[in-house]
Amino acid sequence: MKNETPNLPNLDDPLDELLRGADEYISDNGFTARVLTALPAGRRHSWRRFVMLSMAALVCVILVAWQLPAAIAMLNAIPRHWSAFQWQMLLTFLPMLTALVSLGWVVFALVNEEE
Amino acid sequence: MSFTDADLIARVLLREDQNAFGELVRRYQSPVRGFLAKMSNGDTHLADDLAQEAFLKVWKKLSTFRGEGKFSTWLFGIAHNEWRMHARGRKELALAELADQPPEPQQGEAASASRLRMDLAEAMKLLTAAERAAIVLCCQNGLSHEEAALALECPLGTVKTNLLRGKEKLRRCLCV
Repeated sequence: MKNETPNLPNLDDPLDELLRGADEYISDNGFTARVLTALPAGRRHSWRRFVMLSMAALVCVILVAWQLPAAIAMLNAIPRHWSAFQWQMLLTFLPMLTALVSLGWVVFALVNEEE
Repeated sequence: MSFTDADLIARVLLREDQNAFGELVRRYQSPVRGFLAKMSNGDTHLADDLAQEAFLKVWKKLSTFRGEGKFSTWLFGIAHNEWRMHARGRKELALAELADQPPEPQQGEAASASRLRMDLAEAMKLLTAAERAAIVLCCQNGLSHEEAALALECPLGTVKTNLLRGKEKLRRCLCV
C-alpha cells in the first residue's frame, strides 16, 4: 500500500467550504440511457466476425491444400530444368501466395479481436 | 443490495453485463460530468459529449483496469484525457494556458466590489486548466494528491503546486 498524502478538507478554511458546497449533484436526466444505447454491439458482433473469419480461413486452407502438390512438383522440377526455367512460371505460384497471405491475415485478425 | 465497484466491474468483464455497466455509469455520471463541465468552462453540452465518450472508452478498455487504484481515479484519468484530446484538437489548451493568466488584483473599493460579485464559477475560469483540474479533483471530488497525479498523468509535486496556486488565485478573486 502506497503512503498517500491525506487530503482531508480543512474545515476552518472558507475556500474549502465554498468549493465543497459548490459541488452539486448532477441528475442523470437520461445520460446513462444514452451511454448504454451508444455501447458497441459486443459479443454478438464478435461471434459473427469470428464465424466469417473462420470461413475465410477454411477457404484459404482448402486453396493451399489444393495447390500444394502442384507447387511442390514445380519447385522440385526447377533445379533439374534450370535452362528451361522462365520467370512467367512463377505466376503459377500466385494463387498459392495469395491464399497464404490471406490465411496469415485471417489468423492475425482472429488473434487481435479487440475492436 | 448494493454492489461494490469491483463486483460491477467483474460482471461487466465476465458477462458483458450492460445493467452492471449502467449502474457504474449512474454512480459516477455526476462527478465526471461535473469535472468535465468545469474543465470546459461551464459548457455542459460539451461536457456531456465528452463524458459519454469517456464512458464508452471505459466499456472498451475495462479489461485493462488492473484494480491497483480506485476505479474513480482511473475513470477521472480517462475523462481528463478525453477533455485534453478535445482541447488539443481545438488548440484550446495552448490558448487556455496563455489566456488563463489571471488579471492582477485590482486596488480600491470598486475592485473589491467587483471581486465580491464574482462567483466561484467565474473565478474558476481564471485558473489555468491544470490548476482547475487539481482543485476539482482534490477539493471537490476528494481524491488524494497521489490519485490526482495518477489521473492527470503528472508528477505529485506538480499537482500540489497547481493546487496551492489555484487556491491562492481563488482566494484573491473571491476575497476569502
